[in-house]
Amino acid sequence: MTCLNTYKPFLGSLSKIGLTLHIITMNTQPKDTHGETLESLLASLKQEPEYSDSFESEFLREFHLRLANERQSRSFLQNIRARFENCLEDFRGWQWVYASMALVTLAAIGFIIADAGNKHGAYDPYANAPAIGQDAESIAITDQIVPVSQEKVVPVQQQDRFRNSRVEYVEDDAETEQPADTESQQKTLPDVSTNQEPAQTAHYEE
Amino acid sequence: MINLDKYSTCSDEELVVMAQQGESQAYDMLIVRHSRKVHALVYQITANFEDAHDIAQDTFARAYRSLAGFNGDSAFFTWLHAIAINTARNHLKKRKNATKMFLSLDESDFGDKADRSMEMADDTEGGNPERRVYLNELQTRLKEAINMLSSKHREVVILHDVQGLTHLEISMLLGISEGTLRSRLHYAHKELKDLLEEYFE
Repeated sequence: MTCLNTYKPFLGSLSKIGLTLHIITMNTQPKDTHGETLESLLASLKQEPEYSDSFESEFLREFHLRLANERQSRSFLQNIRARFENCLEDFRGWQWVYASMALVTLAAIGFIIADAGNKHGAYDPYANAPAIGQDAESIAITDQIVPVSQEKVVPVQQQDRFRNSRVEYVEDDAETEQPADTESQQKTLPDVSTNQEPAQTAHYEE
Repeated sequence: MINLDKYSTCSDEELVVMAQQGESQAYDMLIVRHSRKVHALVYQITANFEDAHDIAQDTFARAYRSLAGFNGDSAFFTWLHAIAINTARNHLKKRKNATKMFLSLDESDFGDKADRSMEMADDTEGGNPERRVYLNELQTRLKEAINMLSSKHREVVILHDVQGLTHLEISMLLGISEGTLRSRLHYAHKELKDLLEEYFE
């Protein structure tokens, strides 16, 4: 059949000058006359449109206009995406490595530039602190409102006599018991003027 | 028009490579070289000059966008033909004009042209009026019969018998084996003969 295809133009020219050739098909049987008639009828249906001499140049000009219109109608983002896709299509192996390194570098540069934007002057540790005297009153009030403990100090004279000076921290809710305790403490204290131990004396007396 | 003389001696393959490397004028040369053939092929399918023009333009635009993916497994023209046929198919599907697919009987320009060619052929044979009437009737009946074929059979009949493409070309265009093509052609011819049996007898 390849041989037939090779000689087909030659066979066609022979048929034009009036010679009839019986083309032998692969099954080595001559085609029936109906088949030949059908083929010639079908061949007669071939339609050749009439072309002007400038058909190609007009076609090309129209093609350029079409491409230009397509480019204009595309949005900016579509163009970027198309270019990006074209880029990706051509990427091979090691180019991905360079591309990823370039991306990381770009990200780092971007980060550095963005961070440098916050440091126009020298670093000032008081930049975010309140102005002097502005919140002083509120701080004082806050200290008064929220007492943590109440401190009681033993008188200095008693501390001198007994080296074991005691400082008691009394809870707020135990304030009512405070006078009694103070009295008992005072009772246990030695009498300095008599130079005796009244507690022991009292104990003995009891 | 752009001067494309320096590309006139280049082969299609060379022009494709140059176009792939960004030389757009090489693609212009390919358009100049193949636009008429592509248009003629599509015209055979659509039977409408303007539709064929649009489809041929679309074919070259699609080919241009896909040119980077063309690896030269087949000839450029075969590849372009395949794109043109697919584009024409899609165009006809969009128009929902399946009955008009291939050799429309409604298109007056095609009918007139075909009749004219038959008349001219008949004139050369002596211009027998009875024969002329017979041939016209036969041709009309043949067009009706072709339209009655399935789209697959119609495609191969048009490409092989009307357009005169070789088996190899058609099999590459349609993406089918030559065996399948022969089988389709055989059954299509058989069906046509059955439909035109009264005329053949």
